[in-house]
Amino acid sequence: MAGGLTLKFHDREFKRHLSRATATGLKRAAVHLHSKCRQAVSKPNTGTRVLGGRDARGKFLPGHTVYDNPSQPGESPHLRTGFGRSQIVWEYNGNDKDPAVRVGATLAGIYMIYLELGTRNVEARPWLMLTLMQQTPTLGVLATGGGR
Amino acid sequence: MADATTVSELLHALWAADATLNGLLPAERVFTGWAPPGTMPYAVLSQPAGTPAGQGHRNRWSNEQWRVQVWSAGYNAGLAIRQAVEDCLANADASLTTGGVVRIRFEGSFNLPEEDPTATIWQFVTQFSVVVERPRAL
Repeated sequence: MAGGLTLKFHDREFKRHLSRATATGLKRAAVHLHSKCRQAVSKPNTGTRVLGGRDARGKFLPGHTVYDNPSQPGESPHLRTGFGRSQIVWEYNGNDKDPAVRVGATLAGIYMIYLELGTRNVEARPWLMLTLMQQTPTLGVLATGGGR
Repeated sequence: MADATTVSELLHALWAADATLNGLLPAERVFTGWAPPGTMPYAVLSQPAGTPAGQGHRNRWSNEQWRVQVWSAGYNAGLAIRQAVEDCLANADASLTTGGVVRIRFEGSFNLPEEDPTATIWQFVTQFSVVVERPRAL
């Protein structure tokens, strides 16, 4: 046919671009959830230092710290030393063809998972699932490339 | 289905109605919210999170996350209960006596040892997404 139009579809390049875009979106969503989780466990319970005073012979007694703002069951855990918060991490599987991300706690911070779930002796202090549900709409927007 | 007006009552009723699951762990030993340490095995149903209810022309709906936690002194026994929980509740559709419709979907499961390293107690966790659709109040 004279004067026809030829369309060439670069499917390989398109797929590669799509994979990269998906991976980028997922990473943005993971970073967002990660920072929101860290925010959720940042309510301070850093304690008040109480001096020990002196004994009958005038010798100084050791002081102690009173942690007077602990989290209640159902609330996110409050921050004391910041170690648990520092153990909240995110990671990417490094595979642009089948991208996946996850947010959670490291093995050293496994007690954050126990706080999330609760144990036989301690009621749950959810910080991960609660934040995930609160952030679901935003995560959807970020993962699909919106909100730029 | 027995009279159930809430999701937790419905989960209890589904548990009690399943012969396999009820045989492994009787429904009387399934608690809602939290339970102080008791005779094992026992299970706790909890709802760690839920989205605010949406509203349509006729219905209101909410998406709730429900968690079933089973504590067991033996790994294999606990694993069998977890499997039975999945078989019983995953993809279960039911209705509430108040007119609502409940759709339960399996999200994931895992297990971890209890925090006391001297004990041989395991915690088996199964996560469900529960969509509850209720008739809109006039």
